[in-house]
Amino acid sequence: MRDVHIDRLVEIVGERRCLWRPHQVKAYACDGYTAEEGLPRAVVFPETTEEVSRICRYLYENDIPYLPRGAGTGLSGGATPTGGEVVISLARMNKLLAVDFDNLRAVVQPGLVNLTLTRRVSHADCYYAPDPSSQSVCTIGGNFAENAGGSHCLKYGVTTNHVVAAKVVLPDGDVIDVGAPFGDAPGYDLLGLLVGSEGTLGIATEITVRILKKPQALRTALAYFDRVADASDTVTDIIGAGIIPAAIEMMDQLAMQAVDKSNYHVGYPTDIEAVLLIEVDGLAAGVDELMARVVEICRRHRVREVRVAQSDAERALWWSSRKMAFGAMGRISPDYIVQDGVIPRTRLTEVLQKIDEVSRRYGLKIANVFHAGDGNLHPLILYDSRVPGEAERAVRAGSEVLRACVDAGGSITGEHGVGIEKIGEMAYMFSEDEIHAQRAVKSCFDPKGIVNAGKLIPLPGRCVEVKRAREIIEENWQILNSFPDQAAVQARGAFVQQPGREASTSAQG
Amino acid sequence: MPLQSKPLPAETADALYQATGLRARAVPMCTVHPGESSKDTCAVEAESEADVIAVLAYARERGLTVLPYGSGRHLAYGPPAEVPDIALTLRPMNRVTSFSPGDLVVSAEPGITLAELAAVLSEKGLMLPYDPPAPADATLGGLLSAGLSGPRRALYGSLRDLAISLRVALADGRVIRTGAKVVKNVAGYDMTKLFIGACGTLGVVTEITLKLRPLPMHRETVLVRGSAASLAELRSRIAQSTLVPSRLEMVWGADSGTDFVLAVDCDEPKRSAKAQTDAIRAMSRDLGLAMDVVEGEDADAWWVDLAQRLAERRVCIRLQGPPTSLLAAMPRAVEAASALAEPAESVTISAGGLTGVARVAFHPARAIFDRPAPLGALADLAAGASLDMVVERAPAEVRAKHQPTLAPAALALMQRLKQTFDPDHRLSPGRFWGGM
Repeated sequence: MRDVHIDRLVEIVGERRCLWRPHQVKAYACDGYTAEEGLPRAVVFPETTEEVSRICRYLYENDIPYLPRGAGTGLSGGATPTGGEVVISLARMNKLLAVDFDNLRAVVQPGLVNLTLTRRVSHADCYYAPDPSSQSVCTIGGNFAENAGGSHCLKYGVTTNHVVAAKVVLPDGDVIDVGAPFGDAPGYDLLGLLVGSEGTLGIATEITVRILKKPQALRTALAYFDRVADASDTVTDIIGAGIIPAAIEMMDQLAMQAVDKSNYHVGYPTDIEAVLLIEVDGLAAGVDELMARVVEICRRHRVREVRVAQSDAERALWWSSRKMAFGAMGRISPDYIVQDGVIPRTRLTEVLQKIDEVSRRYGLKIANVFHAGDGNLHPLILYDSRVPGEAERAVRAGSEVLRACVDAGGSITGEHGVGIEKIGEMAYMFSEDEIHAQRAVKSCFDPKGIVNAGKLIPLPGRCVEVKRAREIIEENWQILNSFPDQAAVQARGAFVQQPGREASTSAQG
Repeated sequence: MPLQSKPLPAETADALYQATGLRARAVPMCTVHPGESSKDTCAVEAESEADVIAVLAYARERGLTVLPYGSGRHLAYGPPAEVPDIALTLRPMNRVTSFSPGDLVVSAEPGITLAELAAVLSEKGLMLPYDPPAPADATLGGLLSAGLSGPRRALYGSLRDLAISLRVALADGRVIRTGAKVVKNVAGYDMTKLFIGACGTLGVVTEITLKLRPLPMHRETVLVRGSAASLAELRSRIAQSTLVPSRLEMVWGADSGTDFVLAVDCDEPKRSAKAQTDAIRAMSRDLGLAMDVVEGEDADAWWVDLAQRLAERRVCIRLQGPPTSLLAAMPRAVEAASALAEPAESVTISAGGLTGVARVAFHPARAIFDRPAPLGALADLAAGASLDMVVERAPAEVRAKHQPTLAPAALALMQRLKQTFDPDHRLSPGRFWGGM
């Protein structure tokens, strides 16, 4: 509906950069987490910090809820306007503002695509380190909001380790500078709080990041293991030998089957339990020796076969096979839910057994894709939404998997964020006091509680309610099943995926 | 609670003992933090989180202020504005509470020193890659609260990159855990960051969980001597190469004369380290610079010596900005600092060629104390070179005249955070910027 508020927004950004007709804003009803939707009141496309500030100030003064959005590739619903918010899209703020190659810093607008930054600095042999699998589409602003990770986190860290300063529009429209391009800023670490706050504390409009020099050399190996436990012990021993690989990724047999049916056919043996993708990097003089030690450690743990990539093409195929694993699930299952639990890596074998047990108990296949170096598990729970009750079972199985991660001393999310998807699980991980402290932080930034409300931090009472609701559902789900509406509510978390669509939007993980 | 109703420190000590069973006594504040007031405070030692909670509960009940600290080594980094009613040291809390070498994660109490922690870690071939310029008895909790970092930040990041989880006793009696004891976690706000560098003004940290790294298999440091300009050129060539320095500092001491030393450290395996040394040797030769190499324990000793020299001076100024500007400003920093120092030979400077953080340390001349801006020469230099200046350590009367300024909107936000976590301003009164 066009109303006086839309008129005011149009005054700030112009007609062409303010969408409000339902058919125009429908594309902004959710992000990469598609199980819940909400129609935004309007979508605005500012091009400057000044415009973002004026938009925020107007909306805040008039108590109109709003939320920021990047590329919309988030997997937890952080950019979904569940409350009919005004969506502030940063897509048009996509400039690389400055690069200082000598001092290794870049200043970017939030809408700049992650991989574009790397491409724009690669002529000087530089790159931007955090590499979520969606890096060809996701934005630095979205990475900032989600504290995005990737495959090289063990050695190179996540977004929060690479963002050093930012210009931020606070909920009420005030603009502040946080962090310091070099060294530490005086005062509390506001930047540290803002990174990973999922757009609930403010909007970064200029982001200063570290850029790194590309490693001189790297070596990539693929290792097949008959048993998961051997693969797991191999990872432990590699690190125990003082080697921090640039990446160690693991996939189980089911995940291998899926990716081998996709466009990236590697030809994994069908009777092995686990494959490891191991990459070491550093100075050319040393990488062969490092890789030789890695291969030797694999052999010590009964590896069936271990191969070192002989060409860039081979390495690229192996990485594509891994990075497209989520999308490839469409080849073996109509629907799946992806989870994002983290565990202390040394407890991998035990947690995988628990996941296997959950899989049996619920009668659902679970494929495991795993950043093995840092303990970040991505169990993919396969189901068929056409079979009555299966979506609900999948959601509950996913929840149990996360509980197993927390019980092992881990976390409910390593890089996908809480959003709306895992807000119920926050209560597994944090006490009421801990959630209260986080709500208090939210209030310091956003006393009205209208900026991306209902994301990340459960509202007062909500976590208790969710816990209770979950218990009630667990006790009565067979009955609830017969009510289609209830089933839809429970299907929260179900990532509905069309078979064969993997190449388009689901390059995540 | 009005000031006049506050009990004497000796009375507090007695009552605190009655209430908590903890040994407390009245001591002059200057024994907690040399150079401070000789007025008494009630000193008490916490041996456990339960002790911390008990002291905070007592303080809350009686309306008293509490200064949590470790060895008192970093109180100068944000010194308390007033003598606290209770000075609570966490130094006895020095246990390693959990250690999982395979996960590269350790948890320890805040009273532990880096040396005590390193002893436990090195047994399993691990290290905390963290080398702040601090005295040997500085505690992990104190360093965390001061938010200090050292040259290793160039490769491994600062403490805010290494700390992944905390336990914190809040002023209202609740205890929260922040983050998780796993290396990757994005559940909720990254609350760990809030308490790093907060000078104990938001809560009392009772446990710290850190990411670890394997001990390097080989240690090798290259030392190149030359003029600041030629070393800056060398720094640029190294920064633009694919070499992997773990530390890169341009250093000046009284024995350097007009020369500086560019120290480039390497934690890579031996074969790579040798290749790196060869590459730097070729660059140095090209620039006509002389080069030395120190290896193994000698390399470690060289860096420890630098850290100690910086840590032991009474004044330590941090300058920060783009490494190219920073290094270019160092000859003038030598000049400016030498004019403020007594003796002039006490000046030691280390400028991070990748971190962009320089420390200018010296013993201050008595004459500068009475000036309206005792460190004016350095402040002018910083302003002229577009560098930020932070007084990390200085006598209170010097420090008070060089407070950093914060933008009003950011300051207001920080004050709201302080008000939220410590509404009665009970913790570390006045230690934070803006008198928080």
